[in-house]
Parts: sequence; C-alpha cells; structure tokens
Amino acid sequence: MRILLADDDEELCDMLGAYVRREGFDVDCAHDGEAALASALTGAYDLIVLDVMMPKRDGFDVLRRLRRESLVPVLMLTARGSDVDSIVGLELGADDYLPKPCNPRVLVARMRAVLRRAGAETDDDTGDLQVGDIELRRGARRVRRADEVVELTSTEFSVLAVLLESAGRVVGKEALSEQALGRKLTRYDRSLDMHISNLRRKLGPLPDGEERIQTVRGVGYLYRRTED
Amino acid sequence: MFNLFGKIFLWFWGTMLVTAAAVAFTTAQLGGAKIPPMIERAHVQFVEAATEATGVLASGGVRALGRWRDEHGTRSMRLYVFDPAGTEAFGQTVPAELRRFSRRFAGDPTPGPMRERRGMIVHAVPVPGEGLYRLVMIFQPPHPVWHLFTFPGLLVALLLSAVVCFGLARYLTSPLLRLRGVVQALAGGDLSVRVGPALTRRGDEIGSLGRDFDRMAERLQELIESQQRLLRDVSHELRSPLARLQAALGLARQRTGEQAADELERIEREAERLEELIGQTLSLTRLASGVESRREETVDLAGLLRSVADDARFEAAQGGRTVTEQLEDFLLVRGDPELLHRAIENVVRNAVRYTSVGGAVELSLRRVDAQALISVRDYGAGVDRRDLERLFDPFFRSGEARDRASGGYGLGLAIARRAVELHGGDIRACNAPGGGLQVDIRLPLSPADSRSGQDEGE
Repeated sequence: MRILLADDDEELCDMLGAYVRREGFDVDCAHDGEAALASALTGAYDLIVLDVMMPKRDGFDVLRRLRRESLVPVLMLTARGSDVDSIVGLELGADDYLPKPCNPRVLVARMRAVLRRAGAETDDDTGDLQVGDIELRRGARRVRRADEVVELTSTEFSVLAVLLESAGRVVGKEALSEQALGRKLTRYDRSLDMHISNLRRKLGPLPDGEERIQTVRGVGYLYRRTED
Repeated sequence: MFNLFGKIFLWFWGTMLVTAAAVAFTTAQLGGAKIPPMIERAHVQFVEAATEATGVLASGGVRALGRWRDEHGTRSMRLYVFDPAGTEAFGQTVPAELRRFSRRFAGDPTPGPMRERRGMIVHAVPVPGEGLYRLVMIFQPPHPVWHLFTFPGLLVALLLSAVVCFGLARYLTSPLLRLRGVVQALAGGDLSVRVGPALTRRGDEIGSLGRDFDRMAERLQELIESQQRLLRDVSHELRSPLARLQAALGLARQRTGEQAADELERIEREAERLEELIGQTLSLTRLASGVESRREETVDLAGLLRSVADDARFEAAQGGRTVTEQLEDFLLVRGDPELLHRAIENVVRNAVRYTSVGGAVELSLRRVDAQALISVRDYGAGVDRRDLERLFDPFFRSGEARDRASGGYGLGLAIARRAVELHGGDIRACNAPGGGLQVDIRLPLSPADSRSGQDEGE
C-alpha cells in the first residue's frame, strides 16, 4: 500500500512517515500543496493523507482539484477546534477526516479503515443494486441516477451501498459506521451525518420530491423505496 | 412621564409661565397709581351698568331688574337690591358690613343722586306702587392676572413656549437616549458599536461624552481582540509541537514495545488532554471573533436533542448514570446545526459528568412563547449560588473539591454560551429545587411554521 503524506511540517512528516512505514505501508511525503497535488495525480497512491494548512495550495484546494480527476481515497487532517474544516473537507469529497494534532495510532487505524473499504469494493463485482432510479455497480464503483453518472467518493459509495442493500429498512448508525466507514461509531462523531448529507445533495430528492435518505431519530437512516 | 425629558419640559415651561405671571403681577402692583387700562375699561362698564340697572328698576321693578341681571349681569359688579323693608330682594346673602350699611339707609325717604364711594354705588330708586328701593352695586375689578388672558396673543405665546420647551427637552435628551442604546449594546457584548458622528460632532458636553465613549469602546475592542488573538495564536502555535510530540510518542511506543508502556500511556493521555484543550480554545476564539463562517438552516430541536441524548447515554452508562428526555416535537430554530449541536452537547456532557454516580440527567424541550426552552438538569452537588453566573466563563472552577477529579468546567460551557448567543438566545444556570444544577437554554423559534419539520424522520 502506498501512502502520500502531505503536510508542511517536515519534521512531523518524517516522524509520521517512519511510524506509518513501521506499520507496513510505503510512504512518500509532500510538503506543499503543489507538490502534493502533482504526486497525488500520478495515481501511484492508494491513499492520500492531506493536511489542510499547506503553503502554495491549501488542502481544500488540492482536494478540489484532485476530485476532478480522481476518486483516490483521501483522509483530511483538519485543524482541531474547527468543525467547519471537517465539514468543508467532507463536502469536497474527503473520505474521512481526523483533527490534527492526532494520535498516530488513530491515524493508522483511520487509514486502514479507508483503505479497507476502498479495496473491498473493487474486488467484489457481484451484487449490483437497483433501487428505484438508482443503479449501483460495485465492480465499476459507479452509481447512476436515471442513467446519469453520479460521482461519489469511495466512502459515500460504501454508505450508499449499505443503505441500498437494506432499502426500505432502517440501518442503525452503529451498523452503518462499521460496515461503511469500517470503524466503530465514536461518540459525538458527525462524519456519518456529513456523508449522508453529501449523498442527499448529490442524489437529489426522489421523483416524488421526498428525501431519499431519511433520518430516523435516535436509530439511524433509511433509504426510502419509491414503491412504498 | 417624569423621565428626564418630562422634567426638562415641565420645568422650563413652568418657569416661563411663572416668570410671565410674576412680571404681570409686579407691573400691576408697582404701577398702582396708574390704573391699568383694563381696569379703567371695566370701571366704565360698571358705571354704565349701574345707570342702566337704576333705570330698569325704576321702570319695571325688581322682576325686570332680575331679568336684566341674568342677561347683562357683568362680571365686573355685584348687585344687591333692598326693598323698602330693608330685605334683599333677590334673596342673596348679604355681607355683614353691607347689612349694617343698608340699615342705616332704611329710613331715608329721599332718592338721592347716584354717587360712588370706594367702588360702591348706593342709589335709592322709587318703584311706583312699591316704595323706595335701594340699589347697591359694588365694583369688582378684575384680578391683574386675568389681565394676561385678555390678550389673544397669550394662547399663542403659551403654545409657542410649549413648542420651544418641547424642542429644548428633546434636544437635550435625545442624544442621551441614543447614548444609552449604544451603552446597552456594548454591555450586551457588541464591541463594534459606536455612538456615531451625529453625536460626536456636537460641540457641547454631550458631544465630548460621545467622543469619550467611542474612544473607550474602541480601546475595549482592541484589548479584547488582542487578547483573543493572543489566545488563538498561542493555541495555534501549540499544535505543531503537540503533533510532533504525538508522532514521536508513537515511534517510541513502536520501538520500546512493552518496556515503558505505562509511562508512555500516561504521556499519551496527557497529550490528548492538551489536544482537547487546544481544540476547545480554538473553537471558542473562533466563535468569539466570528471568524468561523456559519451556516443557516432550519434545525429541528427535538431531533438534535435526541441525537445528543443518545451520544450522552453511551457515556453516562459507564458511571451507571442515565439520561432521560422529554421533548416537544416540531420546534424549529434557524441556525447552524453543528454549532447548536455542539452547544447543547457540551451542556449535556457536563451534566453527565457532574450528576451523582447512578443518578440521572434530565433533558427537556418545550415551547415558551416564541422561544424554545431546553433544560438540562443533573443530580449532582449543584454550584454555589455566587458562582452560577461565572459558570460560563472559560476555565471556571467552582470550589476545590470538584475540580481535581473532573478537570473543572474547561471551555465547554463557554463555547455553549457563545454559540447560543450567536443564535440570539440565552443560557442560564440555576440550582434546581431538590439539588443538582439546571441549565436553561432559550432559543428564538424560527418564524417558519413549526409543522414543516414533520416529514423528517417518521
């Protein structure tokens, strides 16, 4: 697994790189936004760990450019104390985020979770799903709404896949987090809600004007079947 | 009524009236020798009336005189008629002095000429078939003050002075009202308010007060902003070394294996505490400076509270504590859902932390007028009454006992207060009857129809 670690703090990058390498990854570092974007666009990496604050181009900008051409998994390192950063990151299509400073153990666990679900779906090309006007092809990791391709990040794809598998039934938040994000639901974690709201935005409402993905208070989410 | 405006108005107007009256009065008193024209005019009228009354009585008797008096009776005279027996014919009460006087005339048979003495005319009038009547007419000079009202210009003067006084009072008090509004806004936490050029351009004392106020507000804003900037910069700068510390710590763990696991774990825990603290400080400074751009959405409070309660239950279960909620549905507010979530979550987590082991945290949401009232109540030790207000200050700690074990209140409640204030609401703490702390959050409800949130989630 090749990881690109983009952070302007060189010392930190070296140490995190050493840590991650010991966990069995190949790691390259980039210290500014331009370099990070250039490396990320080579397609040589399985995961990009992207710090928000970088010279030349900030992490958001890198992510925005990157997403035009690539759906490579991205883990954002956002400024601690700024919810807006994490929300903006997820809205721009990051697969997950982690407030920085962070514990490297947590970072590696997050990286594994993101990689796991990105990898899982490419192997499995059976079980395409069709619910209403949405068609989900696992092999191609592609989602079409009424024959129109909807660009989703791998995390959004996973969340949608889990919801579509149980369309018409409620999926608990814990289950959704474990199956789609590959990690246990942590307390006070809003990232699942963010992915759901991205999906709502990207997929639009159902033909009858209702929300596709409904929140069931205190329980989880439900993908609404139009036949209901 | 008796605000400054009313006082100034009444005092000035009153002063003007009293001055005018005093001038008129003294003029009348001092110019005694010179009979004011009005009195002279009244006297002429009096004499004319007396002559006329004599004629009426002589030709038509008492009854005719009575009619005449009713029709023409002037304000400038008092009229008494005594019949031949010496009785007042109109049945008026006769002043004692006059009664003696009339008795003196009782036997006098001759109708003398009309003469006036000291403003009094006494005249004997023979009425055919009835005898000799006596007519007593007393001149009633008008009071000098009434003099004033005979000018038609007086009413105009009165109104004019009222207008002038009104304007004066307005002129003096309106800048004060404006100043007061600005002071209130400043006290309410808006440091950017200034009294503005309308007031500071004045050359008088109020103008300098306004300029001084603006200078003070300016200075206050600078001080507070620089303090916040410092706090933000310090927190910001602390993050890089902390991130490196954590990375180094991770490497150390990898290399030493189990050798120093306990110590490293301890270091890691402290690093995480620092991390949390820095995060909170940055949150608060961002909120306080308004740097953080906020979204504006319609937020369903019941849904938000349920998700907060679910999360809190998770945490509460570890200490055998419970979280119960009693929520009124369909209460919507406009605002940033993340921010509101964080505010309420901070209050609830705090309650979970301080409620007694095995105790409960009660969450309630209901509508009070045009506001949503969120109450969070714990069954802990409560907070000293004097400290309630300061509970929402950053890093506030009440009492020695509760801080060491729990880490104090930190920044959670300060963040909550700031977030609630940004939504036009307020947050207050009180000790609940029966023990424990209760925090009430009031948020203005969205003007949109509360029913529109119905579809979500059911």
